[in-house]
Amino acid sequence: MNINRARLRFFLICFYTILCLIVVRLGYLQLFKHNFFLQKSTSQLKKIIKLYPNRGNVYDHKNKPLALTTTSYSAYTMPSQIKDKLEFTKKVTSVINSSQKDILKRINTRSPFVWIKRKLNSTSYQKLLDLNLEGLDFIKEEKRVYPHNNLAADILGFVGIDNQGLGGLEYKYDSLLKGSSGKIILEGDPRGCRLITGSKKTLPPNDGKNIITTIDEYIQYIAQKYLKEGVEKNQAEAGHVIVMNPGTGDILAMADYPFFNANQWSKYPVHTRKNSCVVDVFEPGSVFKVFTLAAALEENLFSYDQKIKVPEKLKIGRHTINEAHARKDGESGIYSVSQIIEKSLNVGSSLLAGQLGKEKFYEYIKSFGFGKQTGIELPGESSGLLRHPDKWAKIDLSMISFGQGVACTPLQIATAVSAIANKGLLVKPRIIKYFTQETDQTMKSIPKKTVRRVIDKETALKVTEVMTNVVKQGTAVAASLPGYNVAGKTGTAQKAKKNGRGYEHGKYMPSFVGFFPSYKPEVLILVVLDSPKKNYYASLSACPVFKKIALATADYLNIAPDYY
Amino acid sequence: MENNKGRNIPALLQHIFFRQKIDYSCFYVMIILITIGIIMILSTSSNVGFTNFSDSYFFIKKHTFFLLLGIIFFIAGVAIPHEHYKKIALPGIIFSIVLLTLTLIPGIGIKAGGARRWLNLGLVRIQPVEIAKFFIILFLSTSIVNKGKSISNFKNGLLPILVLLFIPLLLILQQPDFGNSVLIMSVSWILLFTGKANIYHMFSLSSAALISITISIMLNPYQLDRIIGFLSPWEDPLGKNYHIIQSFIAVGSGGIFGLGLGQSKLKFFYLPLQYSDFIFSIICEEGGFILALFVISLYGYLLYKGTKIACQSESEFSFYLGFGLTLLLVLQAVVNIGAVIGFFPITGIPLPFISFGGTSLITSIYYIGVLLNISKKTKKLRADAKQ
Repeated sequence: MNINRARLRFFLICFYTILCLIVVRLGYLQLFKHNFFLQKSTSQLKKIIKLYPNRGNVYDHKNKPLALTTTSYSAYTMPSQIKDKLEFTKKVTSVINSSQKDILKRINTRSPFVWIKRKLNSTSYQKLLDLNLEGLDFIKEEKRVYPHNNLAADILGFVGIDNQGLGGLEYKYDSLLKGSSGKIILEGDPRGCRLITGSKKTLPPNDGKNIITTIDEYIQYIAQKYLKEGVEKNQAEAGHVIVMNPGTGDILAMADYPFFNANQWSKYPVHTRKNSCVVDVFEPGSVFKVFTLAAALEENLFSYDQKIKVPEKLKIGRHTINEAHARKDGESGIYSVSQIIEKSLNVGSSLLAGQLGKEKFYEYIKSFGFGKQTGIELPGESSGLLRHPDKWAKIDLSMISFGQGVACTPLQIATAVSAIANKGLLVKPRIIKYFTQETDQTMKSIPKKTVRRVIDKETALKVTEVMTNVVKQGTAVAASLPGYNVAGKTGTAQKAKKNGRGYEHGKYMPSFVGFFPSYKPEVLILVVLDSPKKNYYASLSACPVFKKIALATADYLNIAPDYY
Repeated sequence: MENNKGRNIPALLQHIFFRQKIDYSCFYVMIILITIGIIMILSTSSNVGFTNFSDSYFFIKKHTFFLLLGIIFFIAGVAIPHEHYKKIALPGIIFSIVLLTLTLIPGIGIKAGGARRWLNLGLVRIQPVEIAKFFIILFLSTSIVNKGKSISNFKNGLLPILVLLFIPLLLILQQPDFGNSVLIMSVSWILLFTGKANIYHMFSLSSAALISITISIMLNPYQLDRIIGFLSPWEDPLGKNYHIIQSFIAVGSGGIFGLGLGQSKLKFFYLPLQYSDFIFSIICEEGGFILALFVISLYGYLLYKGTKIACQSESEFSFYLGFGLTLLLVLQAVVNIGAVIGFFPITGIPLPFISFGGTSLITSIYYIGVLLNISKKTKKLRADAKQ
């Protein structure tokens, strides 16, 4: 045969060498680099699907819902799938409340995913669904709903678009309400489908915990209703109400006018959305006199019916203390200690504080909880402004004795007065009763906590008696309730300027704090109005609000009257 | 064949397969490879079949159909005395040129994936290049034998062969089918090389081939991409080089023993054409190094056996035909395997007997039939010689 065997042999050797090289290469890939490629394979197969937990609900103390979550649908689009963007935009904007320009701008992008509108309401969702638009799709999302709109909005707070807590309890307990997300780990192909032969592992999400607050839905409603009425009637800038149970420190209602709708929180200014009852401070004014009285009685410097001479004016250094009301002609200058409080005499309380001295008076104020956060379960609480006595000017002792030159939150006042109502025991206010698991099992309760004894029981009873007289025959007759002994005290503070230097001219903060029945108190109500244009005296503005809330609350809570 | 006249068909079959001594080793190799192929196609194509055609058995059904057709061709290959093919060498190459030209005509030629490689024959599609390959080998074998010693003369010997060879080659490049062009060039080169062509002529031919390859690459930028990707696969693992990287992952994650039959992960749309071009990657993944080595050994053995049969044949023509067909099969396997492990650029050459594929499967089976026929003659001749 005419073939070249040498060339054939040469070629065959080449060929088998190539086969050997292939085997070597296979050995390198499969044996030497096996782990590297196995790991690559596993990691590209692994697909994680996130499972979102349900956000916990917030209830009032009777398990009535205050904040809930519902499912809603969010519309999105993948712009590359839209055939006619103009037509798409026209159809979409016929349903949702957005300008065509805005939508067009959003879908004219190279981004693969664009939100059209998140958390649609059910009617818009249905309408968009009916359009049957190509490229428009929906994702089920959880939406926070506040069924009562502005009810207790300051306490509850609000959430952002991704259900992240941004205010109030929603913010403070965000991680608890949120729960933790779970995931499904499975093997998938590049198109995102699960492999038939692949493994699957599910880690279920932990749903958020529910919060049971101490709020009573009805009392909250009552408080908000009459606060609004009072503010509008007196043309005030703002108003605050706290209703609490003095024995337990449970907050039954807390309102801060102007209100806001937590479902549409972004439409309200920032200062409206904050909870002024715990965040903002004001000078309490004459309300503070009860603490001066309590301290003086506790120290046995005076007995409450002791008569002392109270001059019309008191000169301390360069300053002069004046009474709010000019004394009537012929009125004698002799008053009992009780009458000083009943008539709310600034000079009188200055005398009481003068006998106490700076240090002791300061210790009592501190003991009542001023200058320190109450520790309520709400975010952003202020500790108020209480300077150390070393920094007090000469006049300050007198000023503070009637509540000027000291600043506190409405909640601090309510808490301190509740110590008097509570026979001298200061309790920590609380707004959360307990947390429950998704199974409604109690997970953790917030205990009632007695902080300390501030004054003796006898002293507390004497102060209560004086406060009862204030309502019976003193400055707060307008706050008296038929059938009940009411203990209370008015205050009409001058409004401090924002920069802290002096007071705003003609602006007052009338307030009233009271509890009833005086000797076995069940409810304590604090009303503060901010700069009313009419009736800046508390007896005419704050007292009627108190009276309305108190009457409705007494009725609702079935509080037994003291007399018939 | 003259002896067979007047016999009935069973007797004829008996005569073909049993009475005459045939070297069956290539046949057994083919059966093992086809079996592996069936298993792998079942494993790899069911998900694609289900996704694209709502039928998990879509591909295996078609494959079975081609296998059945293949049996007919196999019997024809064994039965027809290969010496007869000499007569159709010239018409065959003209027929190939016609078929290849038809692919360029819209309507008859089918364009898929940017290439015109298929002819639509109503029920089936055929790939003319697979048919052309056989005729080119046949033409070369005949020409080398006819030219005899004059093949070392360029003008009268080599040139006319090359001219007729280049027409179908250009048409194949035109499709474009880079892989098959290189394959045909390589086989032709080796045949001419062993056929005592002048060694300087062969090197000039190599230069010419290099030039035509360069031109082809310049005309089709996607081939350039593939070659660059082949040289540095880790540069763009999610883009251009995604497929070769996925192939590495499949091969590498198999390890020694593999993940087990049917357990491949990469067959779920990570690898493209996992039932044809990349079937060897899945063999490596499911069967591991062991199975891969076994498959490679089978092709190695096929080369050994095929060459032996060719060498022992009685005529030069039989040698070139047998050796050429063996080369065609084994070289395809080497190019395919070499591509999925990163030795060569990915060219779309199927793995003979294993890959899903109509024309390629049938022609491959046919080649084995022809090889068996060549071995038959050999044994008969030896028996005569002994007597």
